[in-house]
Amino acid sequence: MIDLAAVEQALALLFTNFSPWMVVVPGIIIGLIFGATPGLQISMAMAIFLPMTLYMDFVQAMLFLTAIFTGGSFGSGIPAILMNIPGTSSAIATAFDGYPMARQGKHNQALGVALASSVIGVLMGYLILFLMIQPLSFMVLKLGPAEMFAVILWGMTLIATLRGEHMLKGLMAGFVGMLVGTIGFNELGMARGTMGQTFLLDGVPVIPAMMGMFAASELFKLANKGYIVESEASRKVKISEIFQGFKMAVTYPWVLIRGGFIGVFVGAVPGVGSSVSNLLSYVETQRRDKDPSSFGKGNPKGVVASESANSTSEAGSMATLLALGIPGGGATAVMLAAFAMHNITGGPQFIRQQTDVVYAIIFANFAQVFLLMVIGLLFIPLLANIVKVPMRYLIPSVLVLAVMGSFGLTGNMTGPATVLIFAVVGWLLRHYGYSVPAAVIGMLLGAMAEKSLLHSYQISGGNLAYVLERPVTLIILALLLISLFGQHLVNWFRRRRQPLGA
Amino acid sequence: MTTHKRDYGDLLVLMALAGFTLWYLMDAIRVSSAIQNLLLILPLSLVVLAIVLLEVAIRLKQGTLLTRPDDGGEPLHRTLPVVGLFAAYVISLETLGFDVATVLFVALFLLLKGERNWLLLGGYSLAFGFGTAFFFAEMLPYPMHMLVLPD
Repeated sequence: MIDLAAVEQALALLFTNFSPWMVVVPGIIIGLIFGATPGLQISMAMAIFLPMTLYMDFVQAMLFLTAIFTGGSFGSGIPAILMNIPGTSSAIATAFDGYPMARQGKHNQALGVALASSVIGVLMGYLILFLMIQPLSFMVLKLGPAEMFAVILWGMTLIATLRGEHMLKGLMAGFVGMLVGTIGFNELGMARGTMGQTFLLDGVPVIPAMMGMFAASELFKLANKGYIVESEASRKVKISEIFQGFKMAVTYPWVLIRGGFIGVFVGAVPGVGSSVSNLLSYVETQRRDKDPSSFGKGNPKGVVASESANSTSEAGSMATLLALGIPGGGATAVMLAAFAMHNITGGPQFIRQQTDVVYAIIFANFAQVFLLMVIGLLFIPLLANIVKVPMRYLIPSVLVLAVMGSFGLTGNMTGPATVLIFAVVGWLLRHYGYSVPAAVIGMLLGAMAEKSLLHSYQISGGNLAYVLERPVTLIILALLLISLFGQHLVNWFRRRRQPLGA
Repeated sequence: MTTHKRDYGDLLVLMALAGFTLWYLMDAIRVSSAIQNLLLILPLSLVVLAIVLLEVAIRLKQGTLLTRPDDGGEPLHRTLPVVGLFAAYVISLETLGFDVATVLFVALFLLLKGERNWLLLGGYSLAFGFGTAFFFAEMLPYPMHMLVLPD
């Protein structure tokens, strides 16, 4: 499974001179800044700095881009925790418990937990990639649209468990979100729900909508508060508490390991990736916990679950890129462009012929983990000071960042208008007890679900028996049913086994 | 025990969700009634409408259709000025430019929320407004409409 000669060559590639490492620290800092700035995307950072890689050799270019990726995946968790704005869709679940922790004055611990989970996640992901890149690439080839639809359905249905007290409202928000996600052209070129507006032909811009629903609507709710953290004593930035959070993450090894495995395998599925893995990991952790009702109220395990999964997804999506030449998302799509710029095509042949380069990228990421830890620890105290800013300054500033960031995503006024509309919708939904995360996740997954379902329909010719021939689909559907009804069944059996009157 | 207060808003939001779902389903059918077009939209819409009916039935039974739990949360009308100001900001971007609109939005927000230190109010809104507009204009590959700063 491991080519030792290639390992030796990879180490030589990395350590014969210092030049490949020159780009790693700037890459991590760029990633952190872009990830931590609402509206700026990791893929945007990579695209902006892509032309610079023309002057680098392939290994150095890959190190630079993966450093941005690594820095960005942790960076996106920072605004999720401090402002309830997930920098990217991969940090949605980080906000679920990270932000309540910040509001309770545990922002230092939350950031420490997120950093440790990210660091361990990246390390775990690349370790799995190192050991399994060949079998993993074979497995990814086996996943068809039916499996992808089942994964999406699993993620989506589990949303009901996110809102225990208002399950119907949670489901409603999620499903209406999915419908909104299908607005615009479908794969067959039919435009639905556009009201004749050309800007809706490509669908509702999801990230501006997400910014509006999450950030702006939450800020409206806080408009009459003084500070994010009400108690003055809790607003202090303490390095000791950040370290405490760092250590806290390690006390949940199973949450980390589960998040890691979900992250790698879901991250390897093209088009699904970290947007779904962080949610699946979060929901699974909540479902298995002794006290599921504590989630969403500042349980650090929620942050660990999300951050470990989204960080390992990086390795998963790299597996698909390296082994199949298929980008799993925006960031790996930019990397594919870097491949093309260096006349390299990803795929099984690339892995066979240039195993040393593949290993060099993986080894470099092991080192990046430690650099991320050091740089992250230096950056966090700076960023955590945000809790000391009065809300009357913070709210307009964040709203402006969201508006300008959304303009950056769409290139026209569609972005800011979307932020406004969804801010109002999110504010109303939040006020009346609907699940805003469910609605956002629905929007993210709607188009993806429709595409997968359509492809399954086309492949099967409309024959439902096709699903029965797909063992992986059946396993995922079984997992879905187990996660929905498993606990109820166990309880039912327990009640039956108890003697009457006991 | 949770107390309830009269609030038509909850029912209105529920009806708005049902209305959107129904309208979207009709629009999708109008575009094409082919299975491929309705593969996801039709079943999903029917599920949403069924959930709305179930929710209405449950609340009718509980007698809470026109009320909502009094959770001590902020009433909607107290936040309306902020929502209005934000809407005005977004709408004015094309006219006032990202630079001036942002400066005005930040200054008015601070004023609305009780900032009376004029030096801080003016200084922060000018520095933040122009600084952010300049940063994004430099970083983004698209032209951003500006009134004072270069496009």
